[in-house]
Amino acid sequence: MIVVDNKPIEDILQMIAPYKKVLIAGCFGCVTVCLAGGEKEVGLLASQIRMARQKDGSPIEVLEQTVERQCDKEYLEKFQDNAREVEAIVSLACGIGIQYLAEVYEPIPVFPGVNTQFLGANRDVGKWEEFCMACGECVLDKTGGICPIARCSKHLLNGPCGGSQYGKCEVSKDVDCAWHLIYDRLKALGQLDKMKEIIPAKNWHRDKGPRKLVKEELTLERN
Amino acid sequence: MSCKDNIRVGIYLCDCEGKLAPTVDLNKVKTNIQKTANFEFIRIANSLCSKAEQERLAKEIDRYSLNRLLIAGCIDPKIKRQLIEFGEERGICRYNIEFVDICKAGKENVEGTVSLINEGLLKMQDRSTIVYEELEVLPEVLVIGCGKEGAAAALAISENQPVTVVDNESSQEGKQFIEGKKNITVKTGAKVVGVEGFPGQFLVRFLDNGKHVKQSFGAIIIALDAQPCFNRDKYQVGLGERILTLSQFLKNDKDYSGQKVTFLLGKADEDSLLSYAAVLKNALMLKEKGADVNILYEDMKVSADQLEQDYEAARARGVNFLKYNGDLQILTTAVAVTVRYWEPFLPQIKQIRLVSDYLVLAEDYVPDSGTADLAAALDLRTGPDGFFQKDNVHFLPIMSNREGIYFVGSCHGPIYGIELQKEIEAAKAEVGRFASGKVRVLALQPQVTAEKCAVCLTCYRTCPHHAIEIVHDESLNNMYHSAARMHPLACRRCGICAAECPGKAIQLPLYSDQEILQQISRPPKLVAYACENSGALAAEMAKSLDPNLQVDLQIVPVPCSGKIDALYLLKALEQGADGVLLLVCHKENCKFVWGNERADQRKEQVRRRLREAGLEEDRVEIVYLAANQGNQFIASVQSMAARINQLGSNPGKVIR
Amino acid sequence: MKEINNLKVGSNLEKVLASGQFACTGEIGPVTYASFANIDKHAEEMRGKVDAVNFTDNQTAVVRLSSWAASLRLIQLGMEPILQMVCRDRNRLAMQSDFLGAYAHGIRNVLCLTGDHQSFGNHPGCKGVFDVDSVQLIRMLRRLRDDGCFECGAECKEPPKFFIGCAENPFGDPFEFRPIRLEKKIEAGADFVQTQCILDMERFERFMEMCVERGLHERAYICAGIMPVKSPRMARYMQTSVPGMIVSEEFCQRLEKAEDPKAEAVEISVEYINRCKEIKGVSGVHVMAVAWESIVPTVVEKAGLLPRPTF
Repeated sequence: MIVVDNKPIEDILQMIAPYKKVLIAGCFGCVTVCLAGGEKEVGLLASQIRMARQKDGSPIEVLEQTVERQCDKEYLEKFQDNAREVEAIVSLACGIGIQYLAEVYEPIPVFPGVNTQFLGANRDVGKWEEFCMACGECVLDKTGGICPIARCSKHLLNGPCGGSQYGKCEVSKDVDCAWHLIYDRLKALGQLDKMKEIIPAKNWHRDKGPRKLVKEELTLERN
Repeated sequence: MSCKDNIRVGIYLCDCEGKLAPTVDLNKVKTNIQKTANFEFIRIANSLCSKAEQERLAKEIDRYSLNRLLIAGCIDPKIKRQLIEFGEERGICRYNIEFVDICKAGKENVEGTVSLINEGLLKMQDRSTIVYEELEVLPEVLVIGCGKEGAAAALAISENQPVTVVDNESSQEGKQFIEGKKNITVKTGAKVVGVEGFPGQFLVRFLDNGKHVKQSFGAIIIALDAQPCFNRDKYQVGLGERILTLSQFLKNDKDYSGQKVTFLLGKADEDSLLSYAAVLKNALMLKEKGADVNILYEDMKVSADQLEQDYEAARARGVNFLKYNGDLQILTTAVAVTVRYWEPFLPQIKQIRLVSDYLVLAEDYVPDSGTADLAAALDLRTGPDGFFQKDNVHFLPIMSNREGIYFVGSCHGPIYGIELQKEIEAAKAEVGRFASGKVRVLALQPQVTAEKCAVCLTCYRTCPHHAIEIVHDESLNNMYHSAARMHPLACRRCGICAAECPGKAIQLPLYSDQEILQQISRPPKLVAYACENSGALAAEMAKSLDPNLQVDLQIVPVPCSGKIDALYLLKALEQGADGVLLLVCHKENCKFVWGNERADQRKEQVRRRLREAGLEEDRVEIVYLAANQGNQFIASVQSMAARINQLGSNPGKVIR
Repeated sequence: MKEINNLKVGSNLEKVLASGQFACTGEIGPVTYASFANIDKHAEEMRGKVDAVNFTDNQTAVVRLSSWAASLRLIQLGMEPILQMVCRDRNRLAMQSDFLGAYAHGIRNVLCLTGDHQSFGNHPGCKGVFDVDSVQLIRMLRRLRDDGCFECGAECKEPPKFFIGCAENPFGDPFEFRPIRLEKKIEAGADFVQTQCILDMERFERFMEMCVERGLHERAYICAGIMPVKSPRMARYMQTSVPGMIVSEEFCQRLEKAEDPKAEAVEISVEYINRCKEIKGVSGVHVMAVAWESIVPTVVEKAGLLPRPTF
């Protein structure tokens, strides 16, 4: 899922400093699952903001609403009643939701309440790890199911580099060397031969700018 | 299972056979309520305690489909109980029946009475409808452990329910007592490797002589006998023909009549009670067979019923109990074993030389070798010395952290092997609930609103009792058609899941967010969220210790401190409090395993949020205490009150 | 060994190696400011004492005078450089562009490396490019030289033809994979290899055994890295704080117990060089005296490597 983390409250307070009535917009999607932007977090942030502004002598009215997702227009429309009432919106959705919300509710300013971090797996309560960088061309078949683009600090396709030691990356002993993991995995799968194969230089798929995906056979013409 | 908001209240103003008329004009009250309140049906009753009235009440419940009752009348506890029973028979549980003391507002105070009734109605609106659930359960019971204890448990339970006993690849000592017996199936060479499902419908996975098999049971009883283990360091003596461990001694099939046998016991600690029992039992048996028996001991602790009896019997039969102090000198020759020891009761004699044919050394008891694996497979906890159950004051003997899985006998500590019968009876009563194949329970477990559930698995992972499953059903109204569900037989209603849920999809009946936040809508200076197993009870005790305690404090009870949502802490401050306390159980003594740890994490989170928002984090504090620490409660509350006095009024409070 | 008249490129280094003689290269670390002063000084010290000189490329991700500029300076001074290029700072466009220029200026040797991670240096938040990795870089250079085309396949009218080198770390993990990785680089086109400096001779010998087993020494020239370590403190630092480096306890203790650590350091290097002459598969040494470039002539002389061959 998309993993996000909360922005520091000082930053958020600065963004909404000029306003007297705002909406905190939550999302029941990824950000709920990674415990940063769901209904609960919306409530906590709203309460924190009210108290901070009260203390500073400039009280603020804070509305709270959470919808299923902020990456689909139909769900974004559910905010309209509250959006009409406020001067600004702070969204706790990922970067996608924040932008879509801003687009749909222009000219109401929409601010990010979170920092979108990475695409990751949820190891256990409160623990997430980056697993994928959406590079556009998956090589997991060659690397035993471990991604060298996302999990190798240097995104090497023919790793490891000389800095790999005791299974750890040279960047930090808390970071596993992805290529060491790949080596172990291919060994366990009996596919070590794959490591001898030279994987050619990568096409980073940014040659057409920000990426789009259109599946013509599925699109709907609305006439 | 989502919560339905279909609240249908029946209001009954009971006249008590006309006796209340001079105090309160019930007609006026009724008219007032009819103007303002939200209800389904209202009537002035003559006397609800009479049979005729109750029959009428029953008909009205059916006719108007009432699922809540507000009874304004006298507050006689006997009548209350009667009406509650009556209500439950009609499917309205006690939590959906509200009693109002009709005389409380005072003579001829119609407004006051109406106001009290409206308060009661509000409470009812907040409270979810609690229904009964009828569940099908399996009467079959699994007993893990085919030693003597497992066999004893199996025999007792098989009187009413079918029992399967597996040896878990361990002792089969008890097999002879149960093989072929009615209602008992024995499986040897079978090891339990996993359990899924919930009480009443456990799916147990076995490795049956190498093959993976599964079978379903209603309940599980673990009765793996503790194993004797000779502790070489304890006695500092080598074994031989004349010096044996108790196990070795019992294996020898000899005629000991006329022989001198001395049993040797070391220092007593609770753990050795089982070894005491073994020594006493065998000493007596040997005496009856004609041997000359001594028990040489340092301490004789007989702190269990059966032990006391065995001790008395042994003494009566002529077993010599000889006490020693300090070191022993042990010498063996081909014909005898001699023990020199210091005698504490006969000061003139000092050292005694005891000659015997055999010296038998008592053994320690250690958990069965399969304990650690079983604990891992079933997610049960082990405690001191590797026996089942952590040393937690709230964990009652036969209970585990999972409903439907029980411990019986020495598997959870050698002392319990002695009280075996009591434990078996208790476990039998527990599993007996499933004997009929059906149970009816009050659905007090948390309810999940599917529309808000992101199936993030947070509740599933933080539940200490394995009481949650993710169910898939087209009727569940979210994009996954999936939602968490708490099982009524597995759930212990701690509320940790409700407080963890990032989507606010879970509400615990009687402790919903609404019901709790409503209590602090206008909080005093200090709000204390108190665990009902410690803080709330200590607060009660404090009332009798210091009835004049002057602190502007409100106690909000919760079933476990794990239910204290971070939001509750912030909201209390936002809505007017100057300080918030969390009163939680002592570390490692949470009745629900880790509720107090989650509470501590939430306190940390809120303190961070306050700090970042420029407010004083010291306005939130956690206090660890036990139910009988009324003094500690008083001290903590006074200390916190002093602290917030110093901090001054909370600058963040937003009073509307 | 390859015949002297079958040279791929004709650089001095290639000639020494191809003629079967024991090669010896040195290294100068460029400075962190805009001056050639140290290069001029150390180049003079090393003139005639080594076959070629490496210039590191933003070593440890700290901004330094670029390797190509330093290499060009050495060409102007009449000596032979080995241009080092890391994958961290340039994409394939910039790399190929630099190669065109370097070759036109007369540079003939390139050492291809992955590069230390940017987090080690003075701009830790910058973007680590890693558009290609070292294996892909080697291949790119080989295609330019042997096929005359760029990475995209387009023809290069006058392609640069370099003597291609790579690095290998016999002390990295997983150990049994290192020779396989070296083989991959040789397969991709590496002509010569410079190993990470040896501070644990036993492990290096095991590594060479594995390489010889695979016949790698017959497909590329393997040169052993030798680093004179001038203080016991530095030795300990490398033992504990430098990623991918294994320093034997014996090495550290020799320096700690020595009365004159600097002299001992030279002793050890000379010993190691002599040992390398005996190890099957080792074609030369690469003396990298980090922050002690001036000691190179001493080491080279004491190890009996003078005079250097001329052609």
